[in-house]
Amino acid sequence: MANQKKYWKGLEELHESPSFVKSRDKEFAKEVPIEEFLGRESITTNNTSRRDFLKYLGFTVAAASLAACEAPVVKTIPYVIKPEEVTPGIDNWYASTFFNGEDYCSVLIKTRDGRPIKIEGNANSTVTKGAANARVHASVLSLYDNFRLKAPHAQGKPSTWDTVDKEIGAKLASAAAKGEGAKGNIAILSSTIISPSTNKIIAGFIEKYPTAKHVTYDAVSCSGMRKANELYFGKATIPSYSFDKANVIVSIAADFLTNWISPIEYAKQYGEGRRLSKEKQEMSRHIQFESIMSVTGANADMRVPIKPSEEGAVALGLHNAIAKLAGTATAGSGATPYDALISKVAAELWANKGKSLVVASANDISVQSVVNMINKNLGNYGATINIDRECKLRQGNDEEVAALVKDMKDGKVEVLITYNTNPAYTASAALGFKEAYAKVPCKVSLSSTHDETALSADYNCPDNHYLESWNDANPYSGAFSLAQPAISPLFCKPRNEGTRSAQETLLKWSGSDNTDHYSFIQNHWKKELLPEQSDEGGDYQFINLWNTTLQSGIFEKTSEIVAGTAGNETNAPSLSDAATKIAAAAKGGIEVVFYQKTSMGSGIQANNPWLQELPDPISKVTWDNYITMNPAEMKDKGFSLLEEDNHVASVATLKVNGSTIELPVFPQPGQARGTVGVALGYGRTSAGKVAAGNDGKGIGANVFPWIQWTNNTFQYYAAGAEITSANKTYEIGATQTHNTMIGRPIIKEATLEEYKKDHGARNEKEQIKTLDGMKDLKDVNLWDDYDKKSPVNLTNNAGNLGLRWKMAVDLNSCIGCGSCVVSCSAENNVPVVGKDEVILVREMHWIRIDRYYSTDLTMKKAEEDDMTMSNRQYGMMLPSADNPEVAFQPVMCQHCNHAPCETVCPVIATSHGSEGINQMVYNRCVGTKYCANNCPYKVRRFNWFNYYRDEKFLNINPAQESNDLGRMVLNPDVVVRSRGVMEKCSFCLQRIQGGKLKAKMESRTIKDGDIKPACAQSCPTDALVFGNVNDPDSRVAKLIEDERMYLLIADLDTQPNVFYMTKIRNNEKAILE
Amino acid sequence: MNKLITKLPKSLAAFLAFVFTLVFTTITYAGDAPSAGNIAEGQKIFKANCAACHSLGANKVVGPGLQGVIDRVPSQDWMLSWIKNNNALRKSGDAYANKVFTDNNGAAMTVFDGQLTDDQIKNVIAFLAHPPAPETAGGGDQGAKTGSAQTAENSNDEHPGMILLLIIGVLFIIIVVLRTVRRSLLSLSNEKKGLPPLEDIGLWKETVKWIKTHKVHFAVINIFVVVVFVVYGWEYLWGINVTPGYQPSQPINFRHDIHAGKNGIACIYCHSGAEKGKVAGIPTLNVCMNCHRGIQGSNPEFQKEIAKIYDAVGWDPNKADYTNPKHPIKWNRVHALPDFAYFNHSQHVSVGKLDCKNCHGDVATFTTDKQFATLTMGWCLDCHRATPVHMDGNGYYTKLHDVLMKQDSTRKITEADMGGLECGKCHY
Repeated sequence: MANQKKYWKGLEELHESPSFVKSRDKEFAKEVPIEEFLGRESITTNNTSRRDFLKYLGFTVAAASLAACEAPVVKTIPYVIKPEEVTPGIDNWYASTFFNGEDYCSVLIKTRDGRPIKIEGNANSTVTKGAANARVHASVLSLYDNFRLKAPHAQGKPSTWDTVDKEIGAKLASAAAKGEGAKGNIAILSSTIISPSTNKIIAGFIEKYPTAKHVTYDAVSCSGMRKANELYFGKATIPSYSFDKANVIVSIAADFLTNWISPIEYAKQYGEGRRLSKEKQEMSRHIQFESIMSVTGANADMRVPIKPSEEGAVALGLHNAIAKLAGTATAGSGATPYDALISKVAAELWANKGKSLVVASANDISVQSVVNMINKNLGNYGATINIDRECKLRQGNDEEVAALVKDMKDGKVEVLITYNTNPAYTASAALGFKEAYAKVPCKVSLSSTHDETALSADYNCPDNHYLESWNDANPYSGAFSLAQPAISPLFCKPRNEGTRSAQETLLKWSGSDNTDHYSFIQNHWKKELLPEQSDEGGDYQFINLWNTTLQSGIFEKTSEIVAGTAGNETNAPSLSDAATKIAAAAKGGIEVVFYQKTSMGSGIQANNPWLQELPDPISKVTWDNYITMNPAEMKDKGFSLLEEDNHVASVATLKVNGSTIELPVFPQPGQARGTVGVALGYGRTSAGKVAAGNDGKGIGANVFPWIQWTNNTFQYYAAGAEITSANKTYEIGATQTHNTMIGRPIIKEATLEEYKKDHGARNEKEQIKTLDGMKDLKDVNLWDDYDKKSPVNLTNNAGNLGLRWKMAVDLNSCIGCGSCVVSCSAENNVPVVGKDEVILVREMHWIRIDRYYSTDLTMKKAEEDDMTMSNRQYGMMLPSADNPEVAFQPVMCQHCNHAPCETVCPVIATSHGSEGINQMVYNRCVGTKYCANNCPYKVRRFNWFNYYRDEKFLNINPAQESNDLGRMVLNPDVVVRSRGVMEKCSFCLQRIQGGKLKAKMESRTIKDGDIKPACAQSCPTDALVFGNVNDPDSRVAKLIEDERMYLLIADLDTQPNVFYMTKIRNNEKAILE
Repeated sequence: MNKLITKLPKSLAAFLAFVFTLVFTTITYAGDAPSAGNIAEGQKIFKANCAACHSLGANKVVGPGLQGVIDRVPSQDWMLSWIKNNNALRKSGDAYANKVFTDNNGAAMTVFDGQLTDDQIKNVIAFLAHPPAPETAGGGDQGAKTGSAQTAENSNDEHPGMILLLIIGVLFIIIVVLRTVRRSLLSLSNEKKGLPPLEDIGLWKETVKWIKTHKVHFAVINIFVVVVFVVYGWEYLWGINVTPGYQPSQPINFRHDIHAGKNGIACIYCHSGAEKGKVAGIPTLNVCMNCHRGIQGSNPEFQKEIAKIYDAVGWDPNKADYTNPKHPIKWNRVHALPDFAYFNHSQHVSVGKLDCKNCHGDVATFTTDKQFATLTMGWCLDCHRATPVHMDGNGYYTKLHDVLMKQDSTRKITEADMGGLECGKCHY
């Protein structure tokens, strides 16, 4: 039985609204805006007559043809003295570390002619294992951000380091003298620091100024968990988790795939646990309780929408159910609307004792204590949780932050140094940071930009970008990595101005003789880290070890890597106390959840156009912040469901504790009723031109001030909110319904149970109805079979010696995180087009991730309910806007062997290569767009503008000709496309050609995995597998034999070289019929 | 025939016998001495590794000139150990080695131990023992002459249209002259016959009249003119921005004929990127200074150009140190492919084993570099169609090569057969 389930991408598609149908059936969803062009003032005020126009035209043609006769003189300027390691045209790769206070990733940096142009995951790392997320990929562009400070500032004016150092030095000395030894009148407020050397530098600073103290503040904090662990295990710590080892994963609102603590690492593990193959026919089961539809929730096998105030109650209910099974104490009533579900989940967890994992994101001591008890009862400590391997990625202490702000208010703090943190933007209003900040006499910011905090600081001492700095990192106990500069500081001349690494600045202020951070790190490692490894050998051995570490990027201190124990409870906390506190959680009214988007995180990289343009994995909205709300509730309140015109949303006023913001409302199926969600990280007023948005006031609204202060921790939800219509509309740039495939069966899915019985479950091969009955596609094919032809084009029996590239897309592994989209943009110089153009359906991404919703109404159920046929059809699409199932499907050019685009090109600008690749020749294209019109997958993108030259894209497109800095990120192996040509995914031809050349130079054949397009390379879960199918040992050759393999819209017989693998859900029951 | 042979004089037979003996003895002798192959190999290694510092003549470049060096050194074994590691040899107290060192102002020679094998060094020594006959002094000039002759020919080729115009012009004048003559004669004859004089309607009107009476002739002429315009117009349009022979002036009048021609420095020595990657690269000034630290030019003209290097690289010849400010040299680019065509030197030089000359011409005869090939896509593809893939000894092709040779050992596998005509090979 084939899958009868209906899939829809947006409510407008579900309801088939007239405007949607109209736009869906058109080649280009919007009219070409001739009015916009003709409406330009310059045109109407221009008094050029038609005759003049013709004259100019004639002259231009003549002048152009004359000018074309002579080739322009091109200058070429070699180095005066070439650095030894640089050869023009050849990449250099450096291992380094990305950590911006939130995401940790061990990375490789590709530099070309001295410019970093691409970031990739470092496979040597035992933490991130070669994975990277969208934010890490995009970080290379932030290096070339023109908003970065180019000199130290004093009182808002450019200054020199000498002056700044002298003045701050004097202030520090006087503060230290005044403080009389009592801590606190000098404070360093920073985000989490995982660099051992930086911590030592700060310790040195405190030694020099004994009244100084260091406070760690995380914008999105895990203080509650650290406190809970301190109560439970005697150590304020975050344990390490193994999502790959867990058979059952229960997450209470933790978006661990894209945001929670160490998402890159967890996504990699999760992908392993979910992978299915002939050898491994089991996958983990994932249950998610959450309010908003997060990426993690979208991947869950079972998702339960709950209110944020119920997170504690759900945890307690789960604890009580498991405690009953374990025979331990229970507490509280635990009555929630989900009790039946919870006891079922508890039974599943109990059945997988020691092979399960329960996590919760609530930054609340009570909730985290209860979760600890659950995991303890399940025996997960020492199995899926290692409490002895400390995760150092969140060290923020909310209480200390609050205490510091109070001190600031009381005028006790005389010098405040902020490092890698932006509390003026991220702090909760409850703290009153801004008022307190104004009272500090000497405010020093080490931020590399004039962000909200730095803007009102007395001194700006801009830090280098991480790609310009030395650094080290210690994300987990025993795991170390180094960061090395891949380029000299861009703004370093003259030396007395420009940027300077924060560590060097602090060393200078500490009065250190040697302020070189590099030698400091080296000395620190020599003394603290490496002696254990090498008792003998001295310097020589150290240098050896150092160089190896620098090359591989990582270092493991084996003595600190310990197997997890079951955990020693030093002081079992009171369960009843926790239950009381949980019962007292603020509730009522509309509950607003503050979440982080996959692209924006907490807004650190708000000025990064790649991230702004990355469609949100769930809503598919770009460049915007909005209120997510359950569509059923929106209908009740009379908000537009974006059905009629799919980008005009209603604006609502959201009121929390007396303050209001206005944001558009976006219908989000799966959003818990009674809740709305608003993303953090928007509304940056001082982050640069990109973040400023079209109106210059900052994209979206900032909801950080609404973070609540409860039980001495920050709570990332607010209860008692009101939402009213603002009687306005707002255009949203969403890619949701663009390029739709009109409900054709393009996602195939089965349950694990079905899969185990039959690997090809619900993956029937397409057949064609003919006069002679049903026939296989290959029997009714009109075309020559491309695959049978020799790939080397020599003789017909040269066999399979040549190369034939194919890509497998495992829908079971794809988590929809968007890492591939940003990676592709970076690799292929994909232009950024901005919100206005996205609204006009002109986004340029070569790869998109389609997100499909589906429902749980089945044919069978409908029959049982005695629904009429038409109601059945409609109903199957309709009801679970409350809790839909979600499937992600990356779609790039399918490289069809019978490509419909190739046959319609009048100038043969697109043709087929012997290696199976559908080639696109930009210099040949005349822009008829026939190919895009004829492509069933809608993967071709037309260049409507010279994005690199048009002033309209001045602020957002990094490739702008006038922006020498932004252009440095361009990949010189790929052409920057011009206006009027079609472009599309090339399978990263430059990498294929490069890989082949490398093999030829080394006189060897191509090994599987040598060549990976940017998307496959960057996929954290290895959902995309690329390779030569003619090599029988390649992974892709094995996958193509798998029964789960299917082709997209196979009934068109386009014979794509991209193939998909059925999605398998670990659901109990088949709901697909 | 037989008779002829028998009639051969005895002296000739003796001569033949002599020749045979000579040949055989030479062959026997060749068993001891280096073969021509060894010498050629040695020459190659010499060009790549030694020619930058040593000339084959008596003149000093950076190191001493190597004319007669094998006769001058104590032994060939000494020479071997010197080339391998002259430091070690000097440290061992070898008198001659230390003398060479001091004679050359204590400039140490590169140590080749590890870079070159003993056999390779022996080949170099063999080459030094059998140096090629010195070139005639005018070698460079000759090259220059051939070059200019070529340019002259090219200029003839480029202006067939001018000749055509000239012919048309001449014909037009002839027509006008003949018309005048005819009119005069007609007038004369009319006058004699007593007819009225010829009405002068002017050249234009008469032409129109002629056209009206000779419609077929006119049509033929018109078609001819249109065809000529279309053909030449087409050719002209194809030639836009195609600039073989383009030889811009350069900030430094760099003489390839001296460096690559007379001194025989291998292309790769300066354009070292060609073997490694996409770009062959213009040598950076430290490469120039490898030799020009010592060579300051033998005449004022050369000295002036070399001084430009010193100026750019900040070299103070008096202090013999890099103390002056540096600035880059802005060369005028000769070979500039458009951005949308991807070209990689290493693919052609290292993998395809093509000689630089194939695309750059005999640069050793040029003064400053000039564009040799048209660099059009047709030119690329013509070569891809004709050139066999260099498969021998390359592990990448082994399997394919074996299978194909089994099928048909005579077949030539060209780049086109490998997909070298496909768009995606160069455009992405």
